[in-house]
Amino acid sequence: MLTIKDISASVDGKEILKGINLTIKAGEVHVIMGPNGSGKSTLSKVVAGHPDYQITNGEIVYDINFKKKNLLDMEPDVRAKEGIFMGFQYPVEIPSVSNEEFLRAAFNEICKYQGVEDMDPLDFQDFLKEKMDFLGMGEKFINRELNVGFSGGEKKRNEILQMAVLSPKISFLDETDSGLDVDALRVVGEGINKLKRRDNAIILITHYHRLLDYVKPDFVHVMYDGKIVKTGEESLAYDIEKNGYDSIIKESQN
Amino acid sequence: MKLIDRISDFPKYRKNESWKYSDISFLKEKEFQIVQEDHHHFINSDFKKKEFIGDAVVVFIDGVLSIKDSKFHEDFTILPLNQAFLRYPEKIESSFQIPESDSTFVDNLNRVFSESGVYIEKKSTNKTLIQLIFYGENKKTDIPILSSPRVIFFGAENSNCSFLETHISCREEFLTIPVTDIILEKNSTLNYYRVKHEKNGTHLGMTKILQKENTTFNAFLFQGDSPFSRHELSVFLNEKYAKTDISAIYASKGSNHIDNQVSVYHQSPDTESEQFFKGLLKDSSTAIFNGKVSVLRDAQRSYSKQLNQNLMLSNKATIFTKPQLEIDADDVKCSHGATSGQLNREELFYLQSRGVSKEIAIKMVSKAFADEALNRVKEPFIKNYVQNILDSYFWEI
Amino acid sequence: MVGNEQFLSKDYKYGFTTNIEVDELPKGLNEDIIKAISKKKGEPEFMLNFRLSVFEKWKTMAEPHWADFDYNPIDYQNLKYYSAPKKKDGPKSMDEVDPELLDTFEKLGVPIHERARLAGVAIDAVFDSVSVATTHQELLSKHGVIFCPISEAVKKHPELVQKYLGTVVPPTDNFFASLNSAVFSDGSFVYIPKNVRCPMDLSTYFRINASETGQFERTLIIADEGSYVSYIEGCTAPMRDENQLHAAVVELIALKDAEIKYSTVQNWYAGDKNGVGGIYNFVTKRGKCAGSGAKISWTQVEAGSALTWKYPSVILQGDNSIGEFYSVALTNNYMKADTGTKMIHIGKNTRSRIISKGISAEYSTNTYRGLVRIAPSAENARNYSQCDSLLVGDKCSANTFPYLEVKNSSATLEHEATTSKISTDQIFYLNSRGLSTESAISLLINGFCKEVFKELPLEFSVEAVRLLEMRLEGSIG
Repeated sequence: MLTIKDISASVDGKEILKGINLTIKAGEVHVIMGPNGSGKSTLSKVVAGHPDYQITNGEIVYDINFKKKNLLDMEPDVRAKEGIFMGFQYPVEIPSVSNEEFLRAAFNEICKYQGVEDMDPLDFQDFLKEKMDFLGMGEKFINRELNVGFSGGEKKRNEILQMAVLSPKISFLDETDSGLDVDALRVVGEGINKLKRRDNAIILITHYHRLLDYVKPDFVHVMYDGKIVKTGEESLAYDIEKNGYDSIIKESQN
Repeated sequence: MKLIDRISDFPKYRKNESWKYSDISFLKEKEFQIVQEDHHHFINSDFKKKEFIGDAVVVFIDGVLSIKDSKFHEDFTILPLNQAFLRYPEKIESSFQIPESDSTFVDNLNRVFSESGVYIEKKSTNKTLIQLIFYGENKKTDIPILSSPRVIFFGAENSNCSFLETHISCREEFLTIPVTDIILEKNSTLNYYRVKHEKNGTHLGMTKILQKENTTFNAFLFQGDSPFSRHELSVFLNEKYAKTDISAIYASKGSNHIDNQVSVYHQSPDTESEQFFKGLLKDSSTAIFNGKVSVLRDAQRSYSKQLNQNLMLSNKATIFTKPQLEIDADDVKCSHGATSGQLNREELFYLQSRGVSKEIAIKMVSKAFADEALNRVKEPFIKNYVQNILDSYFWEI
Repeated sequence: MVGNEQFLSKDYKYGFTTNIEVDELPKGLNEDIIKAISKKKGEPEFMLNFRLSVFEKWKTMAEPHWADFDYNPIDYQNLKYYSAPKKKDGPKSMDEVDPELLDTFEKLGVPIHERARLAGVAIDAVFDSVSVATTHQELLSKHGVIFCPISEAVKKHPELVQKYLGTVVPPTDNFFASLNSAVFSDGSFVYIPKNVRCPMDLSTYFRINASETGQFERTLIIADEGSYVSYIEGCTAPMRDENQLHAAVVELIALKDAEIKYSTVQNWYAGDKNGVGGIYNFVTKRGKCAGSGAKISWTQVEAGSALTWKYPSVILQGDNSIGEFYSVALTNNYMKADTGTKMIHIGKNTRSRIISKGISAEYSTNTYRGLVRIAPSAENARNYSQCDSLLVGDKCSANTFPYLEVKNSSATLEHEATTSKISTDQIFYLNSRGLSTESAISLLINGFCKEVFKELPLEFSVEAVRLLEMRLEGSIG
């Protein structure tokens, strides 16, 4: 579904990604772990098209409906319309735009792009209610200004709600589990689990294995210094939790 | 000597933004005299017992520094300004780095008449308090006295200090123009308290602060009593991570006129300021709050908050409030607000319905209003000191 | 993201000029010119005397200059004070209106000829110094509503004009108001009789076409007891390198229990991206709630002009009267806007509400300046003010100067203000959810201004959003 081929990227002339290769197929769950500064967040931002990052090498091929598309040629909003989603580590606060207004605008833009008819506000409210019930979220969320004054947990849950509404094909969730208490983690974890389908793929970027109590990964990748240095199964995450990254990093340097 | 003989351009009432609501033209034709250096009176021990609350106390009598009445402490370098000029010329020079604020009249007036001043430096981090008492003596003179003291305070690098400035006078008529210049060097902290409760006279005071990197300036200001009182506070957040937090109470009564001018200039990135001014107005008094926050082009990621609240305790009082923002940088968080209103009827009714008399209820609610600012005072004895002044104000409600 | 060039190409679509034969007076300002204007208008004597006496006083007044907002000096002797499209004489019917003019207004989106008229709105179209057409006259007159060019009202309803003209904005109120009082050539006049709810929105569309001409229109709206009217004003001008002066005066009078809702979308030419040219918009707008229970509500979307000084105000004289001010002001490039309101509370239980949203971009300066005055007589007055600023880019300025003067302490006042910005992070966040940059800006602007937009007539609020988006594109990202 998504093939990341030898991607290198830099910000302000400083190289952060140094040749990333990753293949993601429909129905898969990938986990990317790694110490701070290893380039995990950069990878998701590059996929989403953040303007601060310059791609210096490689390509990202997106395979959708039997068509191969070059993701790097697309504006960020077009990528989103094509079904790429990034869950932000630090969701941006946007005052005076209500959560509902925003979700409806985004949803309708995507509908328009995909040639589906807009949803009128009332139908959308029902649709939204359904998604929120599905994720076990309270209604108070919806009339508040987008992410403004949200607690860390609320912001992350709101990211998952957006994912549920926009129904993307490929979701990069950047540290969606950090800064959450046990209850919020459960809501987020179960939410992600419910949104997992056979035709989409989820990539979790995380420091901890605790989210993996809710979402079972097919692959675990370890990033270090802008490269993927090891790929394994779920057990690798537990291994790292116990023994840290040192041995893996050493291994990769030899 | 008449003021108009020495000063030609008085600020224009209504025309000059800073003097829009304060008319000082009544001073022009008044006769004043300046007390000379050798004119010493010693203050009595009762007064000392009551008013001396600092570890070090610097006393000015009628605007003249009185070394004999002062009390020294090893944590502070204290020198008459003329001696400091000789001993630390470069320091005194550097105090002129403080930029000019929008209104320069008071500053200039002080310079014209200043005969006496003091230089203070704090180097240590000991939690010691320096107090400056500006005292008007209880002695009749034919011609009212004009006093124009100047203080230059240095908070040395990494120092920590508390500074209390009290203005008390027994004279019936006078003009005082006290100016305090404060420079905070890197990583220093200053808690500044200014309590003005002269019963009479005209008070035109000013405090200017230049803050360098990672300095903290916490201020509490009180203005009460006297027929005409004005204080200007200008804070220059000159380097990054400078932080300022100003809270104030002004309490006017009778036909008093109290003017609060405060300007905060964010001149560097990552600076913070907060202003919290609470006004109590009784009888047919007038109060002014003119607060300005200015964020310069380069001062990105600045944070500023300004709030002025006024409680009108009579039907004839007048409040002029002007909370201004001037923003030239985009990545800032700034908010300001002002309110004016009478006591909350619901609150009064609630208290009355629980058996509290109306008079007591009014006092309780007014006190609670002032306490929001007063509670920010960390030193308990200064808090008590102001509380006592306020209690007598509430007593007369 | 949208590049600058693309933005500029669709910057100001109203910048064209109309080639039309004109009837104009020579440049210069003196008694003869004023007499000539009055004569061209066929005015009764009281009007000429009004003009001449104001002109005497104007000559002694000084042009205002403030440090922050200075402008190139205006040579008042080098301006034309009257320029009108040539027309056949006699009262005009729509067929007689020059097709070139009909075309012009059509291009501006203001169709005035029979076929294409806007159904719900009656329009008075003012071209340079004169009104060229007023639509829906018949229906309005059935309800007793008078809606006509003020030059016509001076002749047909002198008693109303004489009674109210200059009562809200005294002829010597300020330099530009005085100038207007001496030389105004046209504008709209509205009278709504007692207890009549005006059956449709009334609208005036102002167009400056001629060069080296000042526009000095004058609007007078009187809502008699218990009546209601909603009035809309729009304006555009061609792109010219010189600065043109627009010094209008608008007076509103709401008698007992009457309500006037006045909406403006101001889109005068603002100069080019280097700040060359554009309109000086020095306008005096003021309403008086003369009777108890009266209400005046100003709503403005200010998106044009090189320099704007404008403070639509309300004098709350009647007890229980209400004044409202809703404003969105957008400045871009080198524009400067200094706008706000004055709420003068005189009557008891008077209420006012101020919602001001300033958006500044590029090198522009956007200032809110407002006064809330509670007179000693204004027992239990209330005011709420909210002034928010949005900064786009790091070279612009946003200032807030609220003056609160309370001389009756039973009043309750509240003022709040915030500043925020549109950041590239916000745009990227919205992009990453599928919103194009254009939609993202629109969402942000709509959100920021929604309290004001909801006060505009529907079709205007759509227009306003489009206008602001257009003005902002290219400044973000």
